[in-house]
Amino acid sequence: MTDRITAREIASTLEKEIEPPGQRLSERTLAEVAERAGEGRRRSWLPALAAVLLAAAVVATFSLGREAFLTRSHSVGTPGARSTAVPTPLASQQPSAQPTTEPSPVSTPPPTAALGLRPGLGFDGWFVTPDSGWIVAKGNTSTSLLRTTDAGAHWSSQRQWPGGTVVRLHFLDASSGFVAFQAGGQGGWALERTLDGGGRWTRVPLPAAAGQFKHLDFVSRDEGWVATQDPVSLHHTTDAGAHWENLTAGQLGGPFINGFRFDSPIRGWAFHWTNWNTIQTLDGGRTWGFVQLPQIPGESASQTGLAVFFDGNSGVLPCTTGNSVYLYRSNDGGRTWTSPVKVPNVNTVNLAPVSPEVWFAMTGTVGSPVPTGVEVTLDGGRSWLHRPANLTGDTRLTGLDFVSPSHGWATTLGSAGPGLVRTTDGGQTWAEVRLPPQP
Amino acid sequence: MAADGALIDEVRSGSDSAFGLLFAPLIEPGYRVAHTMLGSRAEAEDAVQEAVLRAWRKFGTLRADTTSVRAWFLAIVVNQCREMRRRRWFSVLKVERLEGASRSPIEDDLATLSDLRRALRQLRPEQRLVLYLRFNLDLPADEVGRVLGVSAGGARTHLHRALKALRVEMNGTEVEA
Repeated sequence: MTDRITAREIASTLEKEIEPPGQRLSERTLAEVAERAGEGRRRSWLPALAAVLLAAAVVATFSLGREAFLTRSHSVGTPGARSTAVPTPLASQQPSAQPTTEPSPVSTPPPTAALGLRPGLGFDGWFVTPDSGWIVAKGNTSTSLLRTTDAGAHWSSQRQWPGGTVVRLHFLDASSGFVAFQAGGQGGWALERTLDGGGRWTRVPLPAAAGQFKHLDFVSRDEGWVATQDPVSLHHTTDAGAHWENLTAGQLGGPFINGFRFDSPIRGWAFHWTNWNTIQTLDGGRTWGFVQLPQIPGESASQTGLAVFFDGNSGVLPCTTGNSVYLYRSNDGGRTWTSPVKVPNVNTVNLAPVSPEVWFAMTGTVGSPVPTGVEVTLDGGRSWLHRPANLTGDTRLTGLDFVSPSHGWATTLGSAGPGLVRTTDGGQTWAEVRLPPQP
Repeated sequence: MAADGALIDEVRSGSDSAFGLLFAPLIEPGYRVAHTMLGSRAEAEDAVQEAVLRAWRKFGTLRADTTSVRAWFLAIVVNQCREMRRRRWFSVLKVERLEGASRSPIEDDLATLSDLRRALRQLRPEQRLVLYLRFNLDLPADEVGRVLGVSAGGARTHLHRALKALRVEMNGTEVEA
C-alpha cells in the first residue's frame, strides 16, 4: 500500500465502480419521461434530443429501466402523451396493416390486477385471490419472493436472491406463474416457472441470441411472449421456452420493450412510443395496427395505455391527458370504443379494474394534494364514489390491486417507510399487513 | 453551462425542444451520480428517469435568476436516490452489493487501487457522493452544496469528513486532495 492517495486516484476508482449505462440512456430517458409526463407537447423532446445527439433515427432501441406498472397483466396504466388526432398508420418499416383477423371471444384469467406499482418503489407483488399472493421483499443483503395463502397472516419465503436483484412476477393463478430475475441487478436475466404455487421452480430458456430481457407476458403455462432490446424483438413460445419464434426480426422497433400485454393467444396490446398510441394485434403479435379511439372533448393531447378485457368482449382502455385520467370502454372485443369517461380526482393512472362494471382508481399518491384513497365505480364509470383511506400520519397509497369488488391490496409509503395494507370492504377501511424481516 | 440561460428562458416560454436540449447532456452525469449512491445500473437508470420527470414538473419553481440547471437537476437526482434507498424494505443498500462489480486485470494487480476501492466501498453512499461530485464532476464547493442541500461551508465539511473516513478505511494513508 502506498502512503498517499490523490484526488485523481479517488476519482478514477469511483468511476470504475460505475457500470456503463444502457445504450442511448438520454434518448431512452427522455422518451420514457415524455410518455409518463402525460402531456402531448412533450413529444417534441424527441426531435430536440435527436438534434442534440445528432441521431438520425431515434427509433428502434430504447427501453425502460424497469418494467412499468402498466405492463402487468390486468393492471392498467398510461404514462405519456398522444395526439388525439386520428392516429397515423405504423411507420413504413413496420408491418403496418391493421389486423384483419376478427377477435374471437376467449377465456381469460380472472381479473386479478397486480399491484399498480410505479418503478422504483422497492417491492412488487401479485395477488390471485383475496387470500393468496406473492410479494417481492427487498432486505439488506437479499431479495426474497414471499408467498401468503392466508391474507398475509403468514408468509413463506420461496426464493431468495442477492440484494438488488430485479424481479418480475407473472402469475396465471394460484399454482402457475413465472418469475424473471436479474441477480444482483446486473448481468443476464433468468426466467423460471412454477406449476405448484411456488414450491418448485424450473428454468425456462430465454430466446437464444436475443438482446436484454425487458418484458414478459404469458397466457398459459406454456404460451407467452418476451420482449428484448439490443436488438429489439418480440419472441413467442408455445412450449414454455423450449422453442422461441422471433416475431419481429428486429423490424418493429420499440413498442414491445415499452410494455405489452396479451389476454389471449391472438390478442394483445403494446405502446407505440413515437406515436403515443396503443397498438393492437389480433394474430398473436405478427401484425399490429393502431387502436382507433374517439377524441376526448376539450383535450388537445392524450395517451392511451394497455386494454384490460374481462371476457372476450368487455374491456376498458385507460387514457391520460396529464391532468386527468379517462377510461374508454368496448363491448365488442376492442373493435370499437365508447366516448371516454373521466375518473374524478385522479391525475395519475393507477387503476384496478375488477369487472366490466367495477373499477377502482387510486387517488392522492405521494406528493399529490388530493387525499389518499380510492375512487370506485360500480356502474362502469357512470358514477364514482370517493373512499378516503384510513392511513395514519403522512402515509399514502402508492399502488393498488383489487382481486374482487371487496378485497384489495395496496402498497403505501410514508415517513415510516413502505408498507402493505389490505381491505376487505372495497377500500372503506385498510389494515396493515406485516411482512417478516428480511436479511 | 453558460448557454443554459437562453435555454432556460426558452423552456420558461413554453419551448418543448429546449427542455430536451437542456437536459439531454445532464442525464449521463445524473446516472453516474445515481449509480454512485445506489450501486445498481437498473436503479440508477430509474432514478435519473424519475429525476427528469420531476425536473419537468418542477421547472416552474426554478429561480428566475438561475443560469445553470446542473446543480438543481443533480440535487433532484440525489433526492430521488435518497427516497429510493428509504423505500427499500427495512434498510438501505449495503456496500457489499458492489462486490460483484467487474474488475480489470490491470486493476487487480495494483494493490493500492484495490485497497482504495475497498475503502471507498466501505464509505456511506453520501460520502461517496460528495467525493464524486467534487473529484469526478469537479464541482465547486457552492455547487456541491446546492446538490447536497447544504451551504458551501457545509459541503466542505462533508468533503472533509468523507476524506477523513477514507483515511480511516485506508489505515491512515494520507489523502492528497
